[in-house]
Parts: sequence; structure tokens; C-alpha cells
Amino acid sequence: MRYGKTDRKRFLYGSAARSLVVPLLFLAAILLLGLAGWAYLCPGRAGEKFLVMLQNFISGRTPGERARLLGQTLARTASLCLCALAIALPCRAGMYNLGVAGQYALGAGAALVCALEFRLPWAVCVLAAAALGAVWGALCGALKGGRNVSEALSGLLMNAVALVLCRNKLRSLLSGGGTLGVLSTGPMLPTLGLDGLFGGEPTVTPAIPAAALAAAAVYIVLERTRAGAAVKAAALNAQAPMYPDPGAGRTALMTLTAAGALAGLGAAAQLLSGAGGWSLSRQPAVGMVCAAAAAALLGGMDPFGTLLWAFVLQHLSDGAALADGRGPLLTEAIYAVLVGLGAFAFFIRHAGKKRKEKGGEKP
Amino acid sequence: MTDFLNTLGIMLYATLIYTAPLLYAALGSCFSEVSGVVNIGIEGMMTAGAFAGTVVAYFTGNPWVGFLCGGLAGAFFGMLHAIATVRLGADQTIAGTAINMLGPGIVIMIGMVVFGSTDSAPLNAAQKIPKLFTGVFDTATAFGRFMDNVFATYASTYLVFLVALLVWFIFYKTRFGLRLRACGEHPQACETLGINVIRMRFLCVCISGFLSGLGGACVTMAISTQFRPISIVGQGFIAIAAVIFGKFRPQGALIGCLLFGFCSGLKVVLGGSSGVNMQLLSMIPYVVTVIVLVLFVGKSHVPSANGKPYIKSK
Repeated sequence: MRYGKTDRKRFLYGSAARSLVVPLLFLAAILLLGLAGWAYLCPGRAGEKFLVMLQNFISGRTPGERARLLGQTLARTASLCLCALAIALPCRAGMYNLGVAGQYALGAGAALVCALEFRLPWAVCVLAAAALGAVWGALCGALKGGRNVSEALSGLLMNAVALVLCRNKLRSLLSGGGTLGVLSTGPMLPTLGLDGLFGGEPTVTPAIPAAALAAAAVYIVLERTRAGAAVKAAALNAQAPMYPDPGAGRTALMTLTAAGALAGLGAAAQLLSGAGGWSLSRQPAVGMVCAAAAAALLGGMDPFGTLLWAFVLQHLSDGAALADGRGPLLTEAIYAVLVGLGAFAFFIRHAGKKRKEKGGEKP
Repeated sequence: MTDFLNTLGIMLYATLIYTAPLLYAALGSCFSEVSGVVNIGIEGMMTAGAFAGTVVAYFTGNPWVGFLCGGLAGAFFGMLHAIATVRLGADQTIAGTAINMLGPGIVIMIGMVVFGSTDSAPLNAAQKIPKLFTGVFDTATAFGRFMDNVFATYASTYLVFLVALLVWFIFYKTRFGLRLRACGEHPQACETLGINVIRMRFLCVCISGFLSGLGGACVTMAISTQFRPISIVGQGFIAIAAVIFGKFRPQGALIGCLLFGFCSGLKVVLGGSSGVNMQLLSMIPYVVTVIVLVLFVGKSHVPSANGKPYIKSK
């Protein structure tokens, strides 16, 4: 059976091909950029470093070490996935939650203050982080819903305020006796026996299945509920928030509040599981958001796609850190480039859709 | 009275020097937004300009060459934004966010190669943008000191007000300006009149990048003496807010930038003596910006085709 030019075009612009080809193109881009980066950083040992980056936990010497490294990657993936969902969810409503850095920073601040200053139980710390992130998201949502202030612009400005507030509070917290640098609570969350599956790694906590459940919950809400339909309808009619329609305003408010809570939970998952610390000299929120934005964009704003890409990106980040001390900087740079390319991925997807609408692909 | 004049002089001086970079970027933003392209990547373009300006001034010893190169670096990132949004029709907010991430990422990487650190080497007095009117006023008297405080400022500060005047002239008194505004209001009508909308928008986004780059260079070559990753923190977003405040007009953006420059200058005056926390003072411009957005965003006339990719009709 012979296929003509029109059939090939139909296939290339079809949704199935786009879903397959676009992620593969990005994976190829990541690998190429990674190889180029290592060739620049370690000219003599680029291949070896690149291989370690790809292998990550597989490069462990013993099965126990491999399981432990996998556990660490999964623990960090949980946090990254929650942050990426905080970007993906509003995007489905046609909004760009660029304030996620501020929501993450305030969530981290709340978790650390509750844990280190007030010595509160972990559950309260998690709730405080989610609540503060949600409040910060709700402010952007209220501005969008109530006054039609661009959520992108208000989010970016709120980031600046949140980062200053967070730094100010945490610095005062450290002056009590800690040392300036990385602030960490250590593993606070209960492992519920999950650590036994990963070589006794204490950072493996229920935050990992909770992140997967959050992705499933976002999917169910978006695809199976009336609220999800409202969220997607807001994306279809960009003009809706311009009218005094309480429904559209409420949708913006609720979506950004939920996104803020997810970002706050991401911060709590990262810090309270002991998977990472908070550096006052270097803003960890910015690096996290860069990777989260890349995961959300590459996952096509789909909750499960986001979860999958969060794991892939975290796997490569951890692999790069294992390969060399400069690895995290390299992966951050790659993810920044990927966000740029992600804009083009969006273009590719939309170009395909437009072509389909014009008749390039028959139903 | 003398103290009052001194404080007022310092306040005005701080307002002027903090207004200059905001105004460069806001004027750039006017070009882009009025032509119909949302440019949220101003911050990234400013960062590129700040770095390029400092590096070139450091190695050539000529501040004006550095200043110009700062603008060109911004224009390069503007061109990237234009390719993504105008030529390829990519989402303008995402492309702008990508520029905001790419700008700092690339300059930090280059900084590591050139200086072995994320901070650039500091500029000496000859490498910085020169101050005008130093020694012109008699500082023996209180009024002379006041005049010296206010007017003995960097040349880039005076230049930006001339640029604002030029941009106003271009927008409202030239054929190019009329076409530019028409592209942002009704691109299809422009096309029927033979105006190349794609080319106009592309050029405007590049000009936007150039002016933003000059704004960034102004920060590192006048206000401070070196580039640091935290040199440009939020100024680009404040500039966008100033444009919204100014109803997308250069003269309105000038007033907005003076307001935000005043808020930024407050930390110079209050931070030194009043014992108020500097970190909290540095939040004032952002908080004021959010308040201004809340108050003015609905009243602003947004160009009708702003943010909508233009697809040329066959």
C-alpha cells in the first residue's frame, strides 16, 4: 500500500505524531546540550561525565546504593512534580502562573519557620506551607479575577516581594544560633516503611506517592468534573475575565489558589523530607521553577505528562550532580534553554492544531 | 533648612538615577506593546544589556562603547523574542518568560568564563558613564549643595529624557509612529494599506530590546560599578507596570517611571538614617507597582491587537 504526500502530511500534523515526536525531539535536544555542556566543562572526560548523567542511580556500585540513589531522585521528583503541576493547572485555564517562585519560597519559609522556630509537628508544617502558598496564589487570582491584572505580571512582582520576605525572615531565624548558608530540617516526614524499599534512604517518604496522587487528582478534576470544565472553558474564552462575570473571576481565583497550594506543598515535600535545603545565598526557588516550567511545558500541561517529565529532568539533574559538582549549574542552564524551546513546542502543537482546523487533517 | 535641602537634594538625585533605567526599559516596552507584541522579556533583555555593557566598558575602557554594546545585547535578545513571537507566532508570554530565563543564564555562564565568577570585575571611574555638571555649582552654600546633589548626575540620566522626547516625537509626529500604532490597533487594515505588519512588529521588538539593554547598562555602569546576578531584579517588570500606568504612551510611562524611581530612591534616603530594615524598604517599589496595577490596569487603553499573533492573509 502506497502513501501519498497528503497522507504523510496528515500523519505529521496528526495529534498522535505530535505527542510522540515533540517529546522525542526535546529528549534529543537535552542530550545534545548535555553532551556539549560536558565537552565544554570537562573536555577530556566529557563522554564519561555524560554517561554518569544519563545513568544517575544506575551508576551506583551496589544494588543497595542504586536503590538509595533512586530513592533520592524520586524524593526530589515529588517536589518538582508538585511545582510543575502548579504551573500546568493554571495553564489549562489559560493563565500563566509565573508567581510560582514566590509561592514556593513562602511555602518553604512557612515550613522552615514552623519546623525550626516553633518546633511544630510535620503535619502542621506541611499545612502551613500549603496555606501560605495558597494565599500568595489567591492574591494573584483575586487580582486577575477582580481587576483583570495580568497574572503573569502580578505573579512576577509578587515573587520579588515573597523572596525578600522569605530571606528576611529566614535570616533572622538563622541569627539565633545557626550558620549562614543552607538551612535544613533534615528528614522530618515519616517514611512509613517506604525507606526500606530504597536501601534505607530516609528521604523516601509518602510525599512521593502523594505527588503522583496530586497529578491524578488534577487530571480527574480537569477531565471529569464541572469545575474542570469551567477551568478549560476559561482557557477557550480569553476575554471572559474582562466581563463582570463572577464565574470567570472565581475560576481564576480558585485555580491560582490551588496552584499556590501545590507550590507550597512542593516546598514542604522538598524541605521536610530532607531531600534538599534552603540556601540563603542562592535562591533555590528560581532553579526549581526553571526545572518545573520545563517539566510542565514538555509534558504539554498534561498532569501525567508533567509527572513523567519531572522524573526525567530530575533524573538528569541528579545524574549531573553525581558526575560533577558543576552538574547542577549545567542542568539549570539546559532547562532554561528548554523553556525557550518549550515556547516553540507550544507553537508546534498549536501550529498542528491550526492546520488541522484548516483541513490539513480530516476528522 | 539646610538639612531639609540636603535631604530633598539626595531624594531627587536618587529618584533621577533610579528612574533612568526604568524609563529606558519602559520606552522600549512602549515600542513593543504599542505595535501589538507583549514583551514580558524586558527583564532578561536588561540583564543581557547590563552584563554586555559592563564587560565591554571594562575591556575597552570606553563607557560609551560599553553602553552601546549593552543596547545591542538587548537588541539581540529582542530579536530572539521577535523571531519566536512575530515570525513563528509562539505564545508571547511564554517566549518572554523564556527570554527572562535565558538572559541571566547565558550571561552568568559567560561571566564564569570571562571572570571566573558570576560577578564582573568592578569598573573604575573612567570606565563608568561620566557625571555631568560636577563642580559647576558652588557647594559652599546650602542652595549650591542642593543643586549639586540634584544635577551633578550621570550623562545617561540626561540622555534618557532626550530619548523620551524623541520617542514621543516618533510616536505622534512621524509616519512611522502612525504605522506603528496602527499595527497594534488593526493589523489587517494596515496590511490592506501596504504596510508590512510583520516587519514593523519585528523592528519594534528589536528596538524594545535595544532600549531595555541600554536600561540594563545604565544600572551597572552608572548606579553601581559592576555586574552581579542580582543587579537586575524586577526593574523590567516595574517598567512594564509603568507603561500600563502610563496608558501605553511614552509621556505616561515617564510619569510612571518617576513614581517608581521615587519609591526606589526612598531606600537611599530612609535606609541610611531611619534604621528601617533595608530588605523591607527594597520591597516598596514592588508593592507600589502591584497597587498601581490594581488601580490603573482597567483604565488603560490596551492596543486592540496587543498580544495577538498576526498571521498574514493570503
